[in-house]
Amino acid sequence: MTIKTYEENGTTVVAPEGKIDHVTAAEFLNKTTEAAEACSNSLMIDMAGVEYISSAALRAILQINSIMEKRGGLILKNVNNKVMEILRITGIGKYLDIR
Amino acid sequence: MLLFLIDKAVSGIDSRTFFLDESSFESVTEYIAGVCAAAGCDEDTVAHITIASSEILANIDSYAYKNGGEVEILTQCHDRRMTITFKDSGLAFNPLQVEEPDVNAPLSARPIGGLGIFIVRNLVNDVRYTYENRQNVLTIEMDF
Repeated sequence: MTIKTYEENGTTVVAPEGKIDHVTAAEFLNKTTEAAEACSNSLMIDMAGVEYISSAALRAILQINSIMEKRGGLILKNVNNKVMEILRITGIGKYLDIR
Repeated sequence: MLLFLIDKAVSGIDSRTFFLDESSFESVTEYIAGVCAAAGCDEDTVAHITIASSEILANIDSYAYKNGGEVEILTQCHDRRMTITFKDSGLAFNPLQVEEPDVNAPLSARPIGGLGIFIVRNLVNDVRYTYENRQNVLTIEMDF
């Protein structure tokens, strides 16, 4: 998996590509946490390049969400149907800002 | 060997054994996705089985083995029903006994575990577990 981080209109964007699963979730969590702790506004995860996520990715997203609740908030964008289905099944999607 | 080949031809069950660890994890999930696609499963079915398999393999890698171990993957397609069986010789563990998470509870009140097997149950039509010959045997089935 590759993870790009960049600024867009004052928002920090993290854009992972590939599957976020048992193996890759740790790298996703590390890089996104780094970005979350360095950003002063909201953090956006652009999910356009994410094929699917597993429960390990959900745990990572929840940890990042918890960091960003005390800051400018976490936004998920470009979430595909497979990822949305996992967020819906687990009841986690309704607590996240998905655009 | 001949008996094995005859058995395979009659049952239509394919078997492949992998050494599962973090470095082989992706190739195992891709093997399962490839078998399902070759059997004629539609894209959604392939995705559901692949994500469910990823959760099952994660459980095997995390709980059954400490430093990787062998996993036998049995696959069969019959009457538009895909059956995938995972056999490992690690610590006995029935993931179906894990308490289901309350998906309506606020995030802060949720326990960390249990989401993986909950996802498996919700993505496939049937999931069952047995412990046979000192092996964990987990089977998922999906109609397409």
